[in-house]
Amino acid sequence: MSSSESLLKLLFTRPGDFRTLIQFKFFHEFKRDLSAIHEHPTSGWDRRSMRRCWEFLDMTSRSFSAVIKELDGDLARVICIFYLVLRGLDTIEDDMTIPDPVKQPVLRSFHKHTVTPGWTFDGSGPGEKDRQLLVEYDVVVEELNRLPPQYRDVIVEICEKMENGMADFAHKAATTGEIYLEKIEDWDLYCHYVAGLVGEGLSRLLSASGKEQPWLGDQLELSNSMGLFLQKTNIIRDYREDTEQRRYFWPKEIWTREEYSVNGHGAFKEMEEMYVPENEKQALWVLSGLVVDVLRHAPDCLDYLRLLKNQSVFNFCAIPQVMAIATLNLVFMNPQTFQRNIKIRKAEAAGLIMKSTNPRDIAYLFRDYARRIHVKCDPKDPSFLKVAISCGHIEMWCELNYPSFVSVPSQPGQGPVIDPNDRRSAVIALDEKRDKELLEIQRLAKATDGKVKDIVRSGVKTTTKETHWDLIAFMVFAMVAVLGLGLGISWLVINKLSPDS
Amino acid sequence: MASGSKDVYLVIGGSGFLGRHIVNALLARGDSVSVFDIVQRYHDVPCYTGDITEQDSISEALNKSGTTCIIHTASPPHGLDDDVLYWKVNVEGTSAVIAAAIANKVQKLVFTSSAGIVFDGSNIIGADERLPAPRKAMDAYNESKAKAEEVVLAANGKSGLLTVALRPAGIYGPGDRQVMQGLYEVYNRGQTHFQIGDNTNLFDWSYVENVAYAHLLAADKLVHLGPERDPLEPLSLSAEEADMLDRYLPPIRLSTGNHRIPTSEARPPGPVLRQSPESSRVTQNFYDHSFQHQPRPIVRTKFDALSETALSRAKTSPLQVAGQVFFITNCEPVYFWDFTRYVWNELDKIVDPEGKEQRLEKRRIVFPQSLGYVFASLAEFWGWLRGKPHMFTRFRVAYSCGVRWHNIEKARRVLGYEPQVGVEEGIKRMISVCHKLHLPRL
Repeated sequence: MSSSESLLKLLFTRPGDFRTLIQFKFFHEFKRDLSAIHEHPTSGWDRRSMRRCWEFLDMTSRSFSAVIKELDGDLARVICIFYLVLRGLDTIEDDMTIPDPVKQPVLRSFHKHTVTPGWTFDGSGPGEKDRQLLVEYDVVVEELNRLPPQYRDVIVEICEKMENGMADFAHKAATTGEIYLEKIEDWDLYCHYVAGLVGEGLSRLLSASGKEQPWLGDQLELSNSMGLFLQKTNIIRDYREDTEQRRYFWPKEIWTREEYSVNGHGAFKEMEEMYVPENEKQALWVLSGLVVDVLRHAPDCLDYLRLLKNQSVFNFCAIPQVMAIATLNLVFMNPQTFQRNIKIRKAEAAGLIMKSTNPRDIAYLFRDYARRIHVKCDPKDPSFLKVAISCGHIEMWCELNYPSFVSVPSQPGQGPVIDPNDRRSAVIALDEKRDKELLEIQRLAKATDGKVKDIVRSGVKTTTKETHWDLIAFMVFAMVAVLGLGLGISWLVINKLSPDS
Repeated sequence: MASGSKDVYLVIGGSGFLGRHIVNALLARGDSVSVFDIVQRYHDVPCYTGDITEQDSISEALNKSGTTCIIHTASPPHGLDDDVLYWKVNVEGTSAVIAAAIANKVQKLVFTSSAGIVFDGSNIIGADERLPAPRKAMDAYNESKAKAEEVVLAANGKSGLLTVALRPAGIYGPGDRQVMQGLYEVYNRGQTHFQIGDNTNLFDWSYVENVAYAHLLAADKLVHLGPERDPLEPLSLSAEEADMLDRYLPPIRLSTGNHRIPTSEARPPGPVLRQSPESSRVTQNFYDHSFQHQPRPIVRTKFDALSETALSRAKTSPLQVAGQVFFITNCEPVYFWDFTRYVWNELDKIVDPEGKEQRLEKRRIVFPQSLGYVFASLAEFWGWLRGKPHMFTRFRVAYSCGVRWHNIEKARRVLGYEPQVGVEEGIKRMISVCHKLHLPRL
């Protein structure tokens, strides 16, 4: 079916989706034209090798291509190259047709190959979908070598760290026959190598570009959380596809938990058991356990997004995260996850892209998905309360960072609007009162130059009303004293100094 | 504590639910502790029985025990229909405690207040300690607690006495007679499938041992009287205070799993073939809990209680303990009905392990809050007619549909409080004890 036909069909089956897609197509289509002549200095479109790299980006990335191309200035090209280098490395790691003794040296020296002019690799299996990238890898090498050292060095360094981590895991699986990741710590580490390091690299490239804070590249934990959140979500979603290709990424510590056992089945022993229809419930409990583990990265992701300044960088970072939480919602409590590869609907994705413009909206999107996840949770699920707590963390993040009682001004130049019905507005009212009080104290201190200052400092009276009373009392006292003195003197003069006496 | 000498504690209300847990916590760390209560339930520590409104009996207990720190937890339970009693015990009783403390030169008073005093029936969303109590309190209990807290804070600094008030929210745990009782009744009646409201309201719970722990921390840190802030001077923080504010506070991970995020500067070895000096350094970092590559940036909004703007407004620094209030919770708020369902499910595992009753399989019946009010009014009217109070009240509807969670950042930063037992583990402990007490079978 052509795309226009499927769109037409959507008009009748899901009119809401139709509307979103039309809006997306006409009002939100990506705009940057990398082939335009004025873009050539940053996009490199005038070079054959870079044109080929842009083509490879479209061929190899399902979701990243669009957001990468929208990045400002030369960041788009830098991150395109970074992506292709890692894609090349990943293609070798993933390839089950390459025997370990061949794979190990190629992986472990990939950081050298990737800067060696003319290097290509044609040892991938015939079924490998990104095989062609490695066959023509010399174009990537050429473009990587053209990058200024502050970018190139980061890419090569991350590549070296990743290749060794991948090689360690591949070697273990090939030589010991232990095909599963054992502990949560192991799956965290594996995801760190294949995705967390991508996050680290991106943060450093963003800092190097000057478009983001120079310290962003040093925020390793936050950067890794961004990667882990995406990677773990993909690993959960791709269960069926990976399992059929005998690639196993779910940590044994979670899926072999005895507490997930239903009707005395006992803990799972093999990953394949989970797609047997009779085991559906137990498999869903495992899935919940994994979702809880993924959700623990969500607050960090929101923290990271909040630190970004550049709009194109924000979109690039935020869109995949929102897709991930939408995907988590899709797979959660969904038996189809074990039967086929499921994906969020095109219109849902388009709608999310349109909404992903600022950290506040992203946070509340996260919250909405958290609630959608939560509402599906079954009290019999051993992870029941853990899911609620995880969702609670997202809700808390929203309210503590972007409190809902303050709404963004509808027109620029206006101040934020406070909801008077929210209890927190009482704090704002007290603050305003106190601010006035402080201003008054300062004004008085200046006007009386010290007198009131001492009274204020003594800490007994800080309200202006009482201070005035003090002044008045002082003045009355002074007046009485002066008057008394005058009267006394007069009396003396009259009585003692009169000529009669 | 003066020159590191240990305090001698008197727990007022030490026979009660929270009081007893505080006594246990003090005993566990080898402290000297006595109890003052209207009844004696335990015999492992000296107990002075007496009426809290009689200053002389408290004085006698203080004098005999040589108390240097009072932890005052006594209060009638919430939900009684006796306004006079609340006022007598909570306000007059607390005033008597303070008078006795001053007369006996006691140095410290830690008072158990309640998060409920800021509740007025509307949503409490991430409230911090700046939120004033409502003009009209929710009920006589909360009104008396609010007044008592005021009295306690006003006594701070008087004749050498230092005071602090803690406001726990939704205390539960082994020995609890309120939360569990109510949930058990609903369970017994087979009404667990009813839900009022849409259950998107987060609700705070505090496991009793965490609350006890917070009391001990507050007592330990109640050491000196901070100066009043000079409103004419710009805000300046001591190094210690700055440090307190800059520390990154992660979400509480007691229930959802605490795992350090691996980075290229701190990661476990994994299936590494050859450890290089570089990789063993990185491995060491991973297991070294104090290791931090770069501090995490702390971003605050101007609405934040500990923002610079807020700190410069404060009359006394909120970064001290004396004269301050602190919300205390588990910092793991959950949607209201989830807590209850989890409890019922755990009960089911004990009471009905075969699942014969199928309580939790029943189709969930959800009615909106407005309808809940109508039903509750009818039920209250029916109860009034029969002359027997009905369990299903408008207060309970408001209670179960409202958002109620608090921001405990101040307690975490200033007291160094971190919950020790997660919400889930806490429920398990509560249920296991209930089970041992042989709740009536159906």
